[in-house]
Amino acid sequence: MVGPLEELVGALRANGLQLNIGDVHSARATRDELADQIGDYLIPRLKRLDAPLLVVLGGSTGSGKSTITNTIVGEEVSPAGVLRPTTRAPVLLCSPEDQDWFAGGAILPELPRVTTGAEGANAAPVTGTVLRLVSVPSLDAGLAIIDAPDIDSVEEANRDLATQLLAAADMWLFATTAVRYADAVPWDFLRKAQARGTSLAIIINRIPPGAAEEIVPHLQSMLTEAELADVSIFPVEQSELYEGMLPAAAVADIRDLLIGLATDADRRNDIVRSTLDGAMNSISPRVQEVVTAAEEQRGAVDDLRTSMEGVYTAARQTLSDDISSGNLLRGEVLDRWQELIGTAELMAAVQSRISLIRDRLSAFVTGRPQATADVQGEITSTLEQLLIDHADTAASTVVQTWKGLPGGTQILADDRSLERSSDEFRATVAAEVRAWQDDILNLVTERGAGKRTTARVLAFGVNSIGVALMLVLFSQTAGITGAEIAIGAGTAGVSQTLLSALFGEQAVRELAADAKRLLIDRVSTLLEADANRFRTQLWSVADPDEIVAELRRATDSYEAAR
Amino acid sequence: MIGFPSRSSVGLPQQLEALGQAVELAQDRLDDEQVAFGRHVVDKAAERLRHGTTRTLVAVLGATGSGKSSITNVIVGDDVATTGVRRPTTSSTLGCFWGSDDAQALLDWLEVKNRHHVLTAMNRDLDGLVLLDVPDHDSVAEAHREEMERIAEHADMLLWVTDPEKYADKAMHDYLKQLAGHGAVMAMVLNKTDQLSPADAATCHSDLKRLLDNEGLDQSPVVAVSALNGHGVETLQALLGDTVRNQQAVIDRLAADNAMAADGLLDALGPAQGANAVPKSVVKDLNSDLVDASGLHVVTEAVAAGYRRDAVAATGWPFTRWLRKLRPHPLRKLHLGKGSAGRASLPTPSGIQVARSQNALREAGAAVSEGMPGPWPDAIAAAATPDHDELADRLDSAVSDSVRAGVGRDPRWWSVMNMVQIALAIAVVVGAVWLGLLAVAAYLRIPEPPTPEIRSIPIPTGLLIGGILLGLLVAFLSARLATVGALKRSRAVRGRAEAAVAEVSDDLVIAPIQAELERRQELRGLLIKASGKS
Repeated sequence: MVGPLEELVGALRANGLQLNIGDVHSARATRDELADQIGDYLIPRLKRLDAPLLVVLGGSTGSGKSTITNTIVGEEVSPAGVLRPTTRAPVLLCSPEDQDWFAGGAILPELPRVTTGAEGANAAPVTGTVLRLVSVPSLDAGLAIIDAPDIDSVEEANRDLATQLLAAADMWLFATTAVRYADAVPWDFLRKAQARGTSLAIIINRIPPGAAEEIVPHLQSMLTEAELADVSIFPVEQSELYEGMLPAAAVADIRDLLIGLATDADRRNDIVRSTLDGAMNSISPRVQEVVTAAEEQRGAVDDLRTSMEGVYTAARQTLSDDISSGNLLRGEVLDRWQELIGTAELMAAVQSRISLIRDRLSAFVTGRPQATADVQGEITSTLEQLLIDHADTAASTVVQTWKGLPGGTQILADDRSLERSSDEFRATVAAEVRAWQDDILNLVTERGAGKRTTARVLAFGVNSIGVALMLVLFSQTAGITGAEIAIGAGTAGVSQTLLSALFGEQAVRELAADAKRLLIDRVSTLLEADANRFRTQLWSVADPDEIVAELRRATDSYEAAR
Repeated sequence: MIGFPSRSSVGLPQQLEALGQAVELAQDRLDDEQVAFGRHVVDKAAERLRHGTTRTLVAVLGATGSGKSSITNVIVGDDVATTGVRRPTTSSTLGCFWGSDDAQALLDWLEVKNRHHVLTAMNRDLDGLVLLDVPDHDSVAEAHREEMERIAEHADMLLWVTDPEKYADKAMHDYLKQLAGHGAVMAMVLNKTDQLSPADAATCHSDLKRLLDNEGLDQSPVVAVSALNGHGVETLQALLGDTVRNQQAVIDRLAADNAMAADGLLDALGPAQGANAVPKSVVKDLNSDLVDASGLHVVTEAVAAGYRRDAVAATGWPFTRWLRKLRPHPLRKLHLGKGSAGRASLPTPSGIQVARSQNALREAGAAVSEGMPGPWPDAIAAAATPDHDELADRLDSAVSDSVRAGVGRDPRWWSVMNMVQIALAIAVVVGAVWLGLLAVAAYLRIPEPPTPEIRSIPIPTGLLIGGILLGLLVAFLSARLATVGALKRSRAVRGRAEAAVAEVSDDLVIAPIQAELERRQELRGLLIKASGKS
């Protein structure tokens, strides 16, 4: 039984539920409480069923917890006072016999211990969060009482400590007062005790003389309404303090209850059993709550991821379309190319006489190589701008989409750099385009490896062939159909004629396809790197899949063990 | 009293007016919640001030069981509020007013139905007081909390009642922390001091004072009171009497709200540093990108080529110039030739041109909104993104107008050179004809007329050869001159077009961005004025 519970605690303490979506706050609270309850109470208790019964006296600030504790043991063991909150370090009272057990780390292992006798009560205040152990000879073995800090003062640390102490209790003695019994905060704690199945009794302190007849039934009816009808109520009338203590008669009922428990091992066992059972029964539904929340998180993360991947897939597709849409290159680039190899009309006339083109072209290349470089440079900057624009659009679309999805704004973490392409993208895109152009030249050289073709290619100059191939690629609308020269793509048509004459039509088709694939590959890598920024943001959230699976597994083995 | 003796040099009405204007400017540009709160404060202040400042609304707030109703009763001097041991006791607000009946309007505004008119004869000092006994804020009754928050929001002064048991409760201090700027209109009442010894009561009092100091509420007085034995009630009444007489609480409360809203908006606005004008380098980059996108270099090349072509046509060797005219005029190809009008047929802005200008526009927006929090950068990005068609149209006309203005009259040297060329051509023709006639005469064996000579060169020969040589030389020189002229003209066109593009970018991009920055600047000024810090 302990093994599966430890596994469950591990699964609960794994860092999950990071997205602020839905009712995650309450799910987180449930998760933390559950983990604390199992770790601080269930596991130690199951390991030692015969360990002393731990009663935690908790409640509101100023409800007289310390005064009641002192009165019950008949000594001033926990300082009481008018300053709120009074008790900051919790005090554990036990019989000298049990002291070793509590001094060890079996329960509340995180709290350091300070051991003093009763006389240490008013010694220098202990700093930091410690548990003060006081052995009280008048207490019987088998029972310990913790005077806990308050649950509702301005001291945030007290509230957390009290919550932790209450989680470790076999039984809660919940202290409130005549003016406090309708406060919202204590009722939250009572509902919590009910949810986790802890045995509970309520002390209502400072009842003005004669008011008990009105207040106690009112409290009783409130408890009944909260389905806590069988909780015992111990009314304590307001009375003058004598040496910091109430008259013994005022707390006689509570004292009897505790002494009864201390002397009767069976009743103690009953209480331990009932709290244990309550706790164990409450585990599965509460884990379910956490699992539901974790599933909701998983759904949100999936939605975010899907939308992001969708945007980038679409970006790749649009880019691929744009590259071969035919209007990528500005008119003047084509004009310049046209100047390079002659007018379209002229070309049409000399299509068969490839030598003429070759003469013009090679003369051009040898005489004014700058022009080829110009066209190539224009293609570089054009592609660069196009890629940056697509990457920018994709990034800003993802950001806009995410802002509209649950958890998206949180994951974006106000990082405005995500709204456009990354600096690296913009820095490397030109280099990538140039690298692609080198790819094309390699492609042309490879293709032209045959003897006859090599000679031709060399005659034209590899660079010019490369540029011609790029032009064909950028104006390739619906596959190359050889003779078909689209309107406005005359230059590309000329280029194609040239290439076809060099390599053959089929080869040109393949070349263009290869060149495009190489470009898309390079672009995809770049876009992928950009998309990774979003994936990294998603990874900052612990993988909800794993958390859900782990919680399920732990719950299953726990259910099986029961 | 003349004016408002407010802490700032500016009065509340001016501050509220500034906040009102600020809220309008901040709409859609700062955090929505802050803007809504600011608007709420302005509206509330207007409503409250409509009822005048002669009445002071004092809300008695506190935890359940701390004795709000008991305190109300001792101030009124009569059992008007229900007290009891059953928690929570008070579930709806009770309004007690001193003096004339006109307080009813205020209570109507507050939607307080339970009312009690206290006869002023009982306590003349409190004439003008409207005391509100409000439900608690910490019990299980959620509706009480809502009612309490509603009244606390509208009251002029907040009187928090607490007791030795509850004075350090988180529930109350959570509210107090939110009201850190409202110290001037808050007072604490530490009730039930009868339950403590005088020494303990003093300790309790100073501990509460310490908590308040930590929360920035050092202005708020703490009055120790016992509703049971009447201890401290006179002090409390004197405090209320002063408040009512000064009629300052209304103003102070609204001023505190106003400052809170203004400070919140100032926070949302972010730090003052950062660009308050579009940086020169960004404008330069933007303009050069827009120039690129407008296709200007195509045009300037065409201008230069057109000049050279026209120059050759005008000054070239007359026997070959016609060849030039066979080629299409580069500018006419772009629909920019002489006498053209309307849109140039520059290459229509393709996807890539859009991309190029959009990158530039994005850069411009990003450069000025760096480090700006909230939705404001979005507004700047929108301002930096003009309508695409309009931008394309304006860029096109900027370029074509510059070209048309730059390609005006033909230079005078063309006609001079032309006349020289014509003279030389005539000389060539005359020489040729003369020689021809001589040749015909020789062929027909007609005795050769004497051919005049100058320095042993026959004149017709000299005319023909010299005319050709000189013509070619002049053509060559003219072509050189034309190259220089073409460069000059294309530079002039480029300069003019760049200025025109800069004007377009200024109109459509820089000015809207600048307007956003000025709006920000103005908003900051208004907020500083509203918060009373100026």
